[in-house]
Amino acid sequence: MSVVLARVDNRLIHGQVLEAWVPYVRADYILVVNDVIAKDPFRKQLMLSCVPNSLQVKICSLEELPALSQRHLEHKHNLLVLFATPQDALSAYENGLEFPRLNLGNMHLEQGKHCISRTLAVDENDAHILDRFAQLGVEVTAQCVPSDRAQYWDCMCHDLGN
Amino acid sequence: MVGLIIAAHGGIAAEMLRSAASIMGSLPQARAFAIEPGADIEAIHTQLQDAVAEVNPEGDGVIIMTDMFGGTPANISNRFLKNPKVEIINGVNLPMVLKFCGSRNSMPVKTLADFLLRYGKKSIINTREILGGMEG
Repeated sequence: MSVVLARVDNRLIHGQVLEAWVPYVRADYILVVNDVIAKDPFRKQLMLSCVPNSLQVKICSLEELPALSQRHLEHKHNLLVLFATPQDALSAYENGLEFPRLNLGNMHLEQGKHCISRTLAVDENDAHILDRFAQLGVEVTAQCVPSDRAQYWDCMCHDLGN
Repeated sequence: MVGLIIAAHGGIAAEMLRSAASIMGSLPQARAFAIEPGADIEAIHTQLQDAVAEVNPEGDGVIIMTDMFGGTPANISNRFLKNPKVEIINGVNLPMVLKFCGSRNSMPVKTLADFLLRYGKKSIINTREILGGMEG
């Protein structure tokens, strides 16, 4: 198994992922790690139905992830992993799904968050988690679509004065 | 690289290019045309003629996508069919435009037009049907 893209995107599977990132990183397997979708059969079915037949796709909860990593994901796949939040990404990472880089795609503005780019809004907790990834040696970059310039989290939080 | 022109009633052509660019990144050799009520047809024909040349610097060809067969944008575009390197697809949709971006370098213009036509049709989907009674 090789993780060709690990991405935080609160829209999970959508146009930017399917049309831009999948061909760019040559992914052949999409893994969505999300408790809400994994536990809602209807939303899960809807999300699965968006993915073309040429791609394999799996939606699992954080709890199901370790077993899945061992059984399914071992050798053959170019894996594109999607998380809705940095928190989910860190839980997965700490449970053995390691990746060298973390891409920040969409984290939408909510109460208590502030924008750090056109598509990213973070609060203090998000920032701590992203700092934690940096400490773990994971390169965190913001890049919504492949043609955008990648911005490094270290530099972005430096700009914020953190 | 095959060039692209989207021609449609009102502003949807430019908006469709804008939406495609937000997903696929910048779109070179692409132009949008808005045909407004009361527009001078011959003036638009001339502008389109210039645009066809402009988006096709290497001579690989041009696909014109229009919003509707039989509408004015399509009727004006039809005149360019005398050029064997121009293909016209009527009934543009966003999946078709996105797929164009990913495949414009990989096939000749005629093959690309056939492919995009099939892809665009296949992308029109009744969600309830593909779910097969799963909902509710």
